[in-house]
Parts: sequence; C-alpha cells; structure tokens
Amino acid sequence: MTVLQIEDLHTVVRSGGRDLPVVRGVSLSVDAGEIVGLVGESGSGKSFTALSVLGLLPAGARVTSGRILVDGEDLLALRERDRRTRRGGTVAMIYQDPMTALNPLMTVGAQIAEGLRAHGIRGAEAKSRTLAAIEEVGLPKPDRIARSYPHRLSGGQRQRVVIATALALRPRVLIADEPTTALDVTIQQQILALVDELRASHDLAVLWITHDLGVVARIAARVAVMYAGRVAEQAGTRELFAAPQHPYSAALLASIPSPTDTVRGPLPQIGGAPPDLTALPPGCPFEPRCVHRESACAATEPEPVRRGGSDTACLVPRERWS
Amino acid sequence: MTMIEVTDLVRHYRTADGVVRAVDGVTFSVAEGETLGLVGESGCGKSTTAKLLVALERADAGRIVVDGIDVNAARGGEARRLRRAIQLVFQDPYASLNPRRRIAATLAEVLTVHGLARGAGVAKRVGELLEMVGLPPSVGDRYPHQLSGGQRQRVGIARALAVEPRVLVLDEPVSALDVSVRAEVMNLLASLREKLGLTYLFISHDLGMVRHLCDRIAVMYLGKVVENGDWRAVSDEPLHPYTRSLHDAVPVADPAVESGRTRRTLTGEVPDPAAPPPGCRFHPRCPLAEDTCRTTEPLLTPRGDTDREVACHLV
Amino acid sequence: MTQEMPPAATVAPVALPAPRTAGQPSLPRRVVADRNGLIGVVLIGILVLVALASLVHLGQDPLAQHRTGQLTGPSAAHWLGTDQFGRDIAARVAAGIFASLRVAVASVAIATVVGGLLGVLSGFAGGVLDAVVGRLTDVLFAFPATLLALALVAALGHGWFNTAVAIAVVYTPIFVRVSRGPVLTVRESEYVKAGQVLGFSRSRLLFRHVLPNVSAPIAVQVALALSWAILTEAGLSFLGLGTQPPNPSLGLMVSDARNFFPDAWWTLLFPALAVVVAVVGLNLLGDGLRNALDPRSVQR
Repeated sequence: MTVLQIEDLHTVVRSGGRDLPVVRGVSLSVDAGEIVGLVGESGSGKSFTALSVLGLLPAGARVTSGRILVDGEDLLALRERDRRTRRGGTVAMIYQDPMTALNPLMTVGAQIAEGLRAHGIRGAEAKSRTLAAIEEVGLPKPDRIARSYPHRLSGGQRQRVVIATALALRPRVLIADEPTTALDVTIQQQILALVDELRASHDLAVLWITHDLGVVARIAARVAVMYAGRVAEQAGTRELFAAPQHPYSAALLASIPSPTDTVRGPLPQIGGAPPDLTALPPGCPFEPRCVHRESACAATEPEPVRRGGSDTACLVPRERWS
Repeated sequence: MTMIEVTDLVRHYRTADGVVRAVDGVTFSVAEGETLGLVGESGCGKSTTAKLLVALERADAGRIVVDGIDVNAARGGEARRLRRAIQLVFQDPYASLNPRRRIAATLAEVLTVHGLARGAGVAKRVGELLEMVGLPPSVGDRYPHQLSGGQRQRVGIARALAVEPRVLVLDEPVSALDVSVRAEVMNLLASLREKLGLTYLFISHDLGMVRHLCDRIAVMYLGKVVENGDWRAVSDEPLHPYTRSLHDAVPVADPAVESGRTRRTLTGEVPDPAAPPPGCRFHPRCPLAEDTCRTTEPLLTPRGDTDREVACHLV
Repeated sequence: MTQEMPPAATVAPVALPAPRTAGQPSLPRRVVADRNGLIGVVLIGILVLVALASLVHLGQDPLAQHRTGQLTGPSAAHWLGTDQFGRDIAARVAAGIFASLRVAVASVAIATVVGGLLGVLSGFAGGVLDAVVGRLTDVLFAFPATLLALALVAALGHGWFNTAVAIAVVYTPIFVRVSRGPVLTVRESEYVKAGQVLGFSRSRLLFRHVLPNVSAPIAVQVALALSWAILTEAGLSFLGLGTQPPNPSLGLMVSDARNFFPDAWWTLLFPALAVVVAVVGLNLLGDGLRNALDPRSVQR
C-alpha cells in the first residue's frame, strides 16, 4: 500500500539572482513497510527532494510544482499550519549529524517529550511514551538515558535517540538523510538492523538517502538513483545491481571495488564532472560523460521508460551498449 | 629494505576526562614499495599514528624510523631531510589548501622553500606536477574553491609529491569525495606508486578501498594493532574477532551477497580511549571472550609460518 | 598636517583590500554592491571631502570673529549661519570634521598596529606570551571605556595627539581580542598543518598563511573602531577635555550651543549632525565590509 507518493516534483534554489533548478521532475513512491533507497552524489538533488517533502527547505529554496501525497493527502496543497501537524506526526525526518539534531542544553527525555507535546500529548502519557520510545531503539536503562544530556552519549546512542524522537509519534513515513554516514561501520550495522526491525514492527515507509551503495544493497527493497535533479533509474534493488539499465548507475556500480576481486586492476572511472545546474545541456544531463551515448541523447532529455524491471530515463537499451 | 619501522609507539593526550591513550604500543613495518593499509574505527589511533609519522606531533615513547631517519630525534638538517622523505595527503581536500592562494602559488611555494626550483624553473616544474596528477596547466591559475573535490585532492597529492618523497601517508584520501570520483583518485594513486616507486601508508575505514590498493593490512583497535597480514588473508579470512566483526559490518554493494550473509552484529559502543578495558581491550564486545581475556592483554604474535600476526588468546 | 588614508594600508602585513579571487569583483566593488556599504561609503566620502576642503582653506575662515552678524541663521554669506562670536559655522564644522577624523584615524592606526600585532603573535605563539598579553588586556577591559579615555586624557593633557593616544589605549585590547580569535582558528586549519608537514618555518606560516586569512575581521573592526573614536573624541571635547578653544571641534561646538538652543538652533544642529553622519556612515561601512568579506558570499 503506497504511503508516500512524490509526483513530478520541481524545486528551485535562488542563487546569484537566478533560480537554480535542483529537483527537476522527480517521481517516486514508498509503500508501507518498505525501505526505498535514494542514491545520488553531491548536486544530484536528493537532499532537496527530502526537504521538499517536509516543507523544510532553506531560505531561498521553494517548490515550484508537483504533488507530495501522504496517504493520499497532498502536503503541498495544505496551509502551513496544517502542514506543521503532519511534520513529525505523519512524516518524520532524521539527519546525518546526531549532535546538531539534539539540543545540547536539554536532556534527551525532555526533547522526545517536547516532540510529543507539540502534538498534544503531555504529562504521564508523554513520559511513558518517551521511555517506551527509548527502549524500543535498543537503549538499556531508558530512565537513565532520558535524564542524560546529549554530550554524555556516544554517536551511536545519539542517533538512536534521534530515531526514538522521530518514531515516538508513530509516523507513517520516515525520511532518513544519510543517518549513518558519520558513524563507525560497526555502529552503522547496529543502526541499520534497528531501522529494519522498526520498519517491520511499525509498518513504516522509509525513504533512505545515501551515497553508499552497500547500505542500499543491505536494507533497501527498491532503489532510485538520482542525477542532476532527476531520477535516472528506479528499480528493485536486486534488479538494479544485477542489470542496471542506466549508464550512470552502471558506471557507479562498476567503480566500486568488489570484495571478491582477485585481480586488482584499475577501477573503471567515469570521466568528466557533474553538470553545472546553471547551464544544463538540452539533452540528457549525463550524455557528456556517457560511454554508451548515441546521437539522439544530446537532443532531448529522456523520459522514464520501463525496461528490464527498471524505470530508466535513458534512450539506449542495454543491448545497444557499446 | 624497510622504509618505515615503527616500534612500541606511544602517544597519550592529557584531557579533562583523563589520559586518552590514543596510540598505546604500536609496532609495524613497511617495506620499500609496499602499501600498508591501516584500518579501524574512531578512537583506534590510526589518525594519530599518521600525525606521529610525519612529525606533526611528537611521540611520548617508542621509535619511528623512516628511510633511515629517526623521526622523533630529527633536528635541523635531519628534520629537513625528513620532510623530503615522507609527506601527508589530507582527508579534506578543501580545508588542506589555502583558500586565498592560487594553485600554482601553493605548489610553487613548496618548491622554493626546499630549493627544488628557481626562477623560470618553478613554473615549469609546477606544470610537470600538475601533469603528473592528471590536471591541465590552466588549473594553476585557479583558486581552490573553483575546483571540484576530485581536482582539489589531486592538487593535494601534487603538493605532497613536490618534495619528491619516498613515502606518502594517505589519510582517508577519498572518503570526502563523491563515489564516482573515488575511482579516478585511487587509480591515480596506484599509477603514481608504480611510476615513482612510492611506499604508501593508506589509512581508511573503507575496507573495500583498502583491500583494493594495499599489499598488507593492519587492523587497529583502541590504540593497538590487533591483526596484521597479507591483504587477502586479513580481508577475506580474518582471524581476530574484531576484524571479523568489522568484516561482517561493512555493507557490500551486492544484494545477493548481503542477503546471503550470516552476521553477528557487534553489540555495545565504540569504547572510550580514556578508559580502555583491562586485559584484552576488545573483551567487553567480543563474542568469544573468556576469563584470560578479561585479565591478560594478548600480545601481537605470528600465526604459523605466515607473516600474519594476531593479538588474541583464542585464535 | 598631512593624512594618509586608509589607515590600514599603513599597517603591514595585514592585507587590505583582500586579494582578488578570480571571477570575483574587487573588494571595493563588493562593498559598494552591498546597500549598507554603499550608503556608508557615500556618507564618509562626503565628510572626507568636506574635511579636505577645510584643509585647503576653501570658504570662510573658521577662526575669524565678527563684531556684527553674531548668531545669524543660515544665509547666502554663511551657509550654516554664525555662532556667538560671528564665526562661520560651515567653516567650523568642516574644520571640526577634519579634527575628528584626524584623531580617529591616528588612534585607530595605533590600536590596530599594536593590538593587532600583539593579538596575532600571542594567538600564534601561545604559551607565556599569550598568558601575559591576556592578563594585560583583561586589566584594560576592566575599566569602562569612556571613563578610561577620560582619565587618560586628563593625565596626558590637551592636544589632538594625546587624545588619539588615550583612545588608542582604550581600543587596543579590542584589537588584540579581535585578531587573536581568528588566529587561533586559522592556526588549526589543515592548510597550516599541511605547511608544517611540508617543512615551512613558523614565520612563513604566520605571515603568509595565517595573517592573510584573519585580515577580514580586523578590517571590519577598524571601521567600527573609527566610529567609536569619533564619538569618543566628540564626547571628550563636549566635556572640555579635547580640543581647546578657539580651535573648532564638533563636541565643543555642541557644548557651547546648548546656551543658545532653541533660538539659534543652527549652532547645535549642524555640528551634531556631522557627528551623527560620521558615526552612522562608519557603522554602515563596517556592515558593508563584513558582508563583502564573508566567505559565504563569495560568488563562484
């Protein structure tokens, strides 16, 4: 059952007196109990997509068109007052740096309770739900954790607290923007396992943003790969890794060393550089760097087509790749 | 010939929370032309080891010998020779370049300070350095903020190579770069190693990259080396329980592999280097821990007749 | 008396204006692009021109007294009117502006050089030097600024240079602090560490790498210090401690004008306005400088 549906989202950022298109027609969906990985590099627009969903774009950025449906309700059509109740309550977000996500001057328990209070839950119920949330994220002695200040906790503990805060209100959708990138790999593993469990127990729809394809392979059921503000390819995780239909996804996967390599030659590299969003070429944005390009690619920007289990924005099917 | 010899290296920091034993008795060596990978998580001491090797900090005890020079004791002329022998490539390519200097000026400064070029020769050598790292000469006129992350990192490598060192310490050289750019920088490092006969100390938390570039791998935990050996052995058949947990924890970009894995998730937190556990430092999180582990610290000892060393009572 | 402007140009090696980064407009242009900076530049520009005009004796003689025509309002002959001695107020205001600027520039120049140098050295070297300088600045900070200036002027005696020295002493600790902070931060930057690993000497690191990157906050502080200096000089003269009669001074003019207000309002309004314009102009210039030097506003 689809919980989150992003339809043809367009977001711009004001820079140097002009509007820079950072999200240029992104469509994707997340079902209940499913983790969708959103992969992209810097400048791909993945973070802006996430921030657009919650209406938390920085000053100078705004959504120009599109719909964001949560349980059928278009968040962009709501008034800010109504959108604010959805924030946290229906759609929650967690970020990369748990230290800046937590107020250093408040105990952790107070911060979770504050989130509850903003949605009308107070007093004894707030307290019990706070402790339950802390316990649910695998932190022992929830009472002691609740009375601790953030700086007394480790990075992994803090990120768990952030997740507890997000889930205390029982949202339908969780958007996670690189939440494990700053963590040690053994701690990352704990957090990934935790989120996967919570996804199942809460029937959460999770949009997981990352640049780490290994994380995607581990927890995501479906993947969307973004490039230059658009979704280049969207597919089930297995399908994408087994047979990527977009040259960018293929190149990205090829450039990562495999742990089963016995011969260690040069890694396949992608030439060129990501495009300048102020001066996008008329055709496919990946075309200048694409090794499989054809003459039609520079003319018009391809729309997504269904091919080999993926929705891919590419004119050249795999069979024709050189 | 041994290019780097580190013996019982110790570096402690005095902080408000107590003494942080960042590096607490580390021993390893790197042969000429070899690449040693140093892996570990936060608090293991790999970054501190890097700083000690290039004399950014002074060790409290132990010995470091690089290309025959005693790093801790080097003064005056010896210190200058040391700067020409070993150099460091930093993790953050933006922060490691002076933002107000053009690239050519940054590179030229190194050449003039060490007397490696004069007058018109400076510009020529700067051009050669840029070419060596695959950058066009026009990059010299630019400022760091006008370059991409990958280009900046190449400049960082060029700057380190300007003194014609024998050894490069690479501190997470690709971690701050986009995924698609990492491959080209790794390829550059591999080809430079071949062309110039360099010795590398490659520090990273990315086991995939370490496995790809290194001849040998040393695993660090809480200021000590817990396992050391050939790249294939340590990466594919780890012996130490920590190395195995690390190996299990690293996500692999292949869903078939991922779903097929049995994984023991390591419980507990990354430990506090100011209060290391008694006995084996890993014992609180170790699935195999026994009584000896809690009381006696295991020494790094060879296993069989291979060059593999492990610090564990049980394997 | 000759003047050299801007004062920071006499202060090497603090780099001002900042080196042009390719593709970016020059610093003066960036300051002017900022609205506050533009207004500030215009206001100060006008004041400087007026002060220079008084230097070359354009217009009336500020000291010439007339038996007739005392306390007359603005007219064709005397654009801003005359004071109680029949002296031309326009000429006196112009000369007063010059006097204020002279004191301000001299005092800030001294404070910048001494304070900036001490701050940079103590931040870079640390240790005993840092501790000693720190305690000295703490002592100076303990005194309320204006009172300290007052006490120093009373002790040093009259004359514009003594006033400048007094103000400089009060402002030096501020420059020490403003220059020390950024030095501490920049000193820890990776590019400074890279320089260490590459074998650069400490003096090279200090002068060629640390200093150019801390000039921005110092520059902003210079503008603000100038505005405070003008206000303080006016205040001291108002109390009779600065420039002595019959030399023109804005503060003194305001003080004397109190007796004739509100009938001869022009005797109070114009000198007061001059002080306001100077202070506001310098503050806006400081804002413009700060916005122009903010690395986040760098255009790519």
